[in-house]
Amino acid sequence: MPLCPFRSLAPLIAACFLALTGCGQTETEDLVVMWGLEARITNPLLAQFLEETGITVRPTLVPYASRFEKIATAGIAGAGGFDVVMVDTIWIPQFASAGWIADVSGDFSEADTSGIFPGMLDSLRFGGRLYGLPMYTDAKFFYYNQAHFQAAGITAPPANFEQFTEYAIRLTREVDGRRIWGTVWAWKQAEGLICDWMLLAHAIDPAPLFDEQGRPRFTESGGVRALEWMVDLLHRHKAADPASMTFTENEVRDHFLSGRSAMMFNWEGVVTKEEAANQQQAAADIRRALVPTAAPDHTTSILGPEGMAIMASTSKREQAIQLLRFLTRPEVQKQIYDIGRDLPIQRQVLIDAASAGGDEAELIRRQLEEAVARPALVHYSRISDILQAEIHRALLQEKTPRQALDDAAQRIGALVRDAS
Amino acid sequence: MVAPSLTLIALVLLAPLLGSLWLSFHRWDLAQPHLGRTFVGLDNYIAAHQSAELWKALGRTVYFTVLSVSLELVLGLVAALLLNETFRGRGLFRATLLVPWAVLTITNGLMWRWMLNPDHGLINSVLTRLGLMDDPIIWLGSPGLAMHMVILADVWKMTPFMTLLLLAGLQPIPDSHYEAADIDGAGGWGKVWHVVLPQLRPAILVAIVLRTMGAFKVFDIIYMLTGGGPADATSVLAFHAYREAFRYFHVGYGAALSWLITAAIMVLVAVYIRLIGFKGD
Repeated sequence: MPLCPFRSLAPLIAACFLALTGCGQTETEDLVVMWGLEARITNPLLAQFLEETGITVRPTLVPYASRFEKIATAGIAGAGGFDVVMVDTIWIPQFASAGWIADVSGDFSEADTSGIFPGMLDSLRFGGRLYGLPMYTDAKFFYYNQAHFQAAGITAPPANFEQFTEYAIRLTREVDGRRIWGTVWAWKQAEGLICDWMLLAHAIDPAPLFDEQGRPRFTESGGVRALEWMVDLLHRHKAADPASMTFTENEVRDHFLSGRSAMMFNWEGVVTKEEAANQQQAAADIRRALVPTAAPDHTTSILGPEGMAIMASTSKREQAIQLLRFLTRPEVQKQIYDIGRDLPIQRQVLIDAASAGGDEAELIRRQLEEAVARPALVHYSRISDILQAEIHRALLQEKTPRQALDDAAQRIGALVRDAS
Repeated sequence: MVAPSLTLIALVLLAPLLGSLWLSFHRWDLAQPHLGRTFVGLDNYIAAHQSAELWKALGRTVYFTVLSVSLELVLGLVAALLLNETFRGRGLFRATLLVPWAVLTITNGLMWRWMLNPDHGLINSVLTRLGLMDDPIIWLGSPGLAMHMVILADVWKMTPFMTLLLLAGLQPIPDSHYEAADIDGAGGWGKVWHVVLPQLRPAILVAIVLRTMGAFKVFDIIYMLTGGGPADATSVLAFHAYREAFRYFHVGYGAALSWLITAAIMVLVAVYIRLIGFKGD
């Protein structure tokens, strides 16, 4: 009896189809959200949202490191995936121009957004359009170890970068046969390096590092001087741990919290959210101050907010907008701040906390008010990679800071020209 | 009876391969969909040929491949010769040797990153206690050191795989061949040179072909340990292709890079076959 040649494969093919079906996100009435917030923060909020709106949210916790690729995959795949995603604001131009996240410019009124720190709302804009709402914010803060300061006879945090350098030199010393470093940095070839360099460049000269078309201006503004300062700190003054070249923000935190360094710049979320931080040797001696700049009584920082964007492919746009409106309400933002210590995007939450006697809240508010966003560029990932490599070449003394940034500017300029 | 199998292979293997080859002849920037998907012929390959970054990445990849596969071959051969002997505790030794290979690459990367930490890593700690150094060594902080540490982590993980393949090649060699060599007065080295290596040639070929393919497309250990740094010193071809396709969304160019990596591996395999020879017996 003749057999159909595919008959023997039928169970296998059926199994493959079943398996593939399981891999996809099935269509559901629930709102499917991808974010990086812990369940202890989100569960009470989502229960409240369900009670108010009748909308069930199905959250998927995806760590920051995997989220870019997951959103890109969902964007390429189109329908049937996530409805709302948490995004780093530097991804907005790339995702918006790919058409993966929805333009929500007309969906939120002035009343919805007026209390949000302006810089944070702007970081969700691209090409004059709004692509989501900020969910929580962060910025690089200046931290110092009070005990190390006292031991070195230093009574107040540095007021400017000259003083910072002087302190870093004084604080670098041997204590009981153990080297204490004046400062430690996240200068591994990664995005943290760019954040630190941009912070320093803005602290030296507030002029923008890129123009509105994305063309580099950092060789004329504070970029070169910032890099020269970084190289000097590492090689001439030997006041920064050379291991900074291999550290990310988490390793910088561990280094600082264990008392091996006296000053650092780091994200609030990296420092305070770690329960382990409280158990570290130096935790009780940690103090925070405004980021020093070249100008007296002035501060700056780099913003690191994350926002919620709506996937263009969603069929539940209305529900998604309701969720964004809910999550950014001042009382919900206060809850998030109280439970998770994630910094709120609503200015009023910090003003209220400050008037209730929170000096720390006032310092955070001021730092956030004066922090700047990284540039919103479609090719940001590539530009950042070029800068990371060239800045590293200067830090390794393979090139002078001027040469390295001239080369970076040339390559980025060509990239922007080609793209336009 | 082969038709169903061929159809299945065509569906799951050939179709995506041909799809990616076709894609490599297009300019397609996912971040700029308004530009569309344009047929550009060999432009992506020409652009790759003219890219200084690509040639540098190729140089690093070749260095990584040659050094890691050579070290794994030598260490794997020594381990296989040891395991081919009968001695007390051989079972335990064999099981222990397999542990690194069983460790996930991502875990291996984390473990090495921890061990190489300049401040509290195991390696600096041991060297300091032994009085061999005063200041900590920043293992991943300079280009030369970082590349060699990545190679070390890869060798640690993949040597057991090489050992297993070579051991499988050693076991069929009859004892009579060693006995004959003994009668002819061959010592230990003589037996390795005149008995083992000639008969192990097919296994060596298989082992280095498989490992070359793996090493040439190395990605995960580099992603975990150095992220391509410092100053791009460990940015190898697969890392370069990953950035182009998945970070910059240049999927056509990324596909072309993947085909170039495949072509380079095929060339290397052809060279091995020619150098070592393989008659199939």
